[in-house]
Amino acid sequence: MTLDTLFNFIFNINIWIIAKVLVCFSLLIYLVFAGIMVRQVNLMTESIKLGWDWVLKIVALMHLLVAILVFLSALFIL
Amino acid sequence: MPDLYSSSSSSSSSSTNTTAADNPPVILFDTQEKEEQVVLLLRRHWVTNLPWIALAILMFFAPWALKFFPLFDFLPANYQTMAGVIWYLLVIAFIYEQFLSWYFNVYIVTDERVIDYDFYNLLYKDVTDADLPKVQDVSVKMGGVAQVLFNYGDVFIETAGAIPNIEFDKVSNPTRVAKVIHELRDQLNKEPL
Repeated sequence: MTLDTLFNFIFNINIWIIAKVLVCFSLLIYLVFAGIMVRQVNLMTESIKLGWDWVLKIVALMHLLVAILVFLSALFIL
Repeated sequence: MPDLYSSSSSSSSSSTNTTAADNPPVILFDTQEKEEQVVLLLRRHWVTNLPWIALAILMFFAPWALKFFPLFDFLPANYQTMAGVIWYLLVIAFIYEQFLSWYFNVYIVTDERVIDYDFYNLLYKDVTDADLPKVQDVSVKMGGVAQVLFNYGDVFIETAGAIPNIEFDKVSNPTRVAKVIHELRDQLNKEPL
């Protein structure tokens, strides 16, 4: 690869592709966070049973579901 | 979902005025003994949630400000849409985590001991408990306009020996909480061994 082809390659990179990769990577990390949240809510409700546990578990699962949907839509829309 | 529950069966609480619900829900915690009765379940006063609720409302309406300050107009339409979706996802996560932090940071007074459950964030939990006979001193600290207006404050429980001191942060009616702990401890100390 000559220096010219390398410069051509660098200057022809689509900035929006890089942006898409960064956004998808961030959303993937967010997915992990949402998964940890579900696990942690389960642990918290096991430690103390206060009567509203099922609501909190459903909200945590819905949050995880929304995070998955947002990740998938970022893959297809961007 | 009040910030203070008291057991109606407690003799100590029946002698004092209460703003709490009189029928506490079934409370079970992982270290609870078979015969152990929950007398008080406390959380931070609901007023302490107002700062993050105000911030959440601001965050919710923040995208409207972009109509007047078009900072993201250089982005293609699909990126602008995704930015909005991701923003609201973060707002939901912020609200949910703040709520969980309030809901699960509880202070429990049973007829045998006091327990402090601290969930600092999603990954860190700290549980401290002390037997009531080991409680040496209970003090109350209230200060500031909000605390006087809404009757909430901190309760410090000094314990004997190597057991760390327990602090109930910003709980409703702290004077009553201190009184209940004092009465329960005195009751236990009077009981024959």
